[in-house]
Amino acid sequence: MEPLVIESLSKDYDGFRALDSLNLKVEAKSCTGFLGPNGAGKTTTIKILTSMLRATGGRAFLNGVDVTTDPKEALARVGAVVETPEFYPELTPVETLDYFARLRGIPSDSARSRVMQVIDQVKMGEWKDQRIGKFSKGMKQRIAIAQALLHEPDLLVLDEPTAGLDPRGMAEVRDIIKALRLQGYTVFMSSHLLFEVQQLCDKVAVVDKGKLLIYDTVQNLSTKRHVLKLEVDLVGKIDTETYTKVCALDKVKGVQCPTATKMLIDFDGDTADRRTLLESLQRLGLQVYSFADAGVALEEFYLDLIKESR
Amino acid sequence: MAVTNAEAGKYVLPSDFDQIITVTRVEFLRNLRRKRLLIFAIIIALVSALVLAVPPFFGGYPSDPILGPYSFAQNFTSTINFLIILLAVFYGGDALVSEFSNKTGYAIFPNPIRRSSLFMGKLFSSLLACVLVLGAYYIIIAASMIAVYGTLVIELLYSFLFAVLYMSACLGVAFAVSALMKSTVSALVLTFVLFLFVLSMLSGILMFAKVRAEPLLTFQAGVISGFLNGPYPGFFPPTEQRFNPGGGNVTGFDFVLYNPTVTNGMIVCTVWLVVSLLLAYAVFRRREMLG
Repeated sequence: MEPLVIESLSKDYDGFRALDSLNLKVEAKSCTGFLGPNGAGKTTTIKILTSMLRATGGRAFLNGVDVTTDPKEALARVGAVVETPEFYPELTPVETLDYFARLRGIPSDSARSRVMQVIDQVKMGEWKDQRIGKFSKGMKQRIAIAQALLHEPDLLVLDEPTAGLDPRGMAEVRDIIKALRLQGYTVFMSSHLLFEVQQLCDKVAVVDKGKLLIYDTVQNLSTKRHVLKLEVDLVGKIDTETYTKVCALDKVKGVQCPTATKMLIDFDGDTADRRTLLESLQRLGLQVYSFADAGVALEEFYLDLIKESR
Repeated sequence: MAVTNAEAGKYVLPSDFDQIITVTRVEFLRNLRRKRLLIFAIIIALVSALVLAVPPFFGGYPSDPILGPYSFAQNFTSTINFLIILLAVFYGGDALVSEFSNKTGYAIFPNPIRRSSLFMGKLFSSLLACVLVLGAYYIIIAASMIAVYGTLVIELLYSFLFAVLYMSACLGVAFAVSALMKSTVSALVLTFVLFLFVLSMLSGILMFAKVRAEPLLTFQAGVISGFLNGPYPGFFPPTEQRFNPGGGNVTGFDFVLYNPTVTNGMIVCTVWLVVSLLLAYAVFRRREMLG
């Protein structure tokens, strides 16, 4: 059974159709990125999934329970972070998480240790007994992630989980999500950051104007685009002769050098071809210390897709 | 096919009743930690100090052996309508709207809890906080009465019980306003204006027009001090008192003072309480987390 199934989900706001018969099935233990421009319907979808909005039509099943008719049971095994939530300023993180633990039925004897566990996981131990009213947005976002993990949910619904965090916080949250994937959590997350989705997710659903444009694996989407962008970092500087030789290599469609020691290679090849390219670069005498997807292939594909839908 | 929490080996969801208790406890803790409790403590202390300290400078406390304790207690209740309105505003005015305007709903609504449980928990905690403050005020009145007169009258309990009913109705109205408003500040201001100006002005206008303001909630506040007019029921104020400053020689200047009755007061307060809470719940249950 898929932990998340959306069937013909629609939402109208005073005549404006924010969601238009959206259909989506998220597989268990997968990490699905939910992409789309502003106003595409991402947050509306997530708000319906988390019982903040009522759907105009359609259904949404969380672990087999329709959230539009029985939100209490449907949300039982779901953890969610929607936007950057505020918490009661009079309470401390421990009190807040203890409150959520009680609402979710975590027995009081294990609640305390579980609360401390998630507080440590989001690195908020130092502030666990301070009132939340004094916290920054980033600290509140960590508490939000902690409350989503508290009951060890089967499904995590995250709405731009790194929004409002500083670069270090963003990296830490991404690490948490990566770790959760390894632990077998199913993650459904919206994000504006394409490289984040590419880095964290194995599947991507792109929506625009409330409609699903495409739903596929990141790997397939990159292959469909054919041309990959590869980022190559070198120990030495690139000279004109080397540059010309790289341009002439098999399946290389173009080369850019944003810095003297970095190349961005447009490459039309599969995994085996990439290995061959790396070997060719080394044969040319280049000292490659980093060779990776630049993360722009998905961006270009996404932009093309959005352009076509408008 | 859906799998229940227990089947999935996860935590078993608490019943709605258990969740209401959890919400009540946490909301009450929040109420205790807010500065508004301190404000009420200061108000009560100031009013009590004034009522106790001023009379000795103007001839002492009422000395009538039977009516003295009643008049003494009535002095305390002269400001009770204002206190109750403040309680309703502070503990009810922002109770529901704050989840939306302060964005705390983003944290609470994705939890497996019905809106009805949240609503009930918030209501009970607000009631508890209000009864706590009101109870403290009546304890001061009772203690002062014993200290000054060495006696305690049962009508003080009647007055307190009616004050709780009246306060509950006011809180219900505050909850309804809170459910309807978009921002916390507007909810607080509107509740305050509604009680202190709109309803009070209507009461006054109707009195000048010689019409009983029976359906108005604030009109019923008179029952609270009415109980302390003297031994109940004999001394309870009459339903209307006619005054004629011209001694009957000048027509058109007579004035009628209407007093509420206990039965009507209980009925009107209950109707306001039930209707306003139903409205508040209906709006809160359907309200969406927009923006």
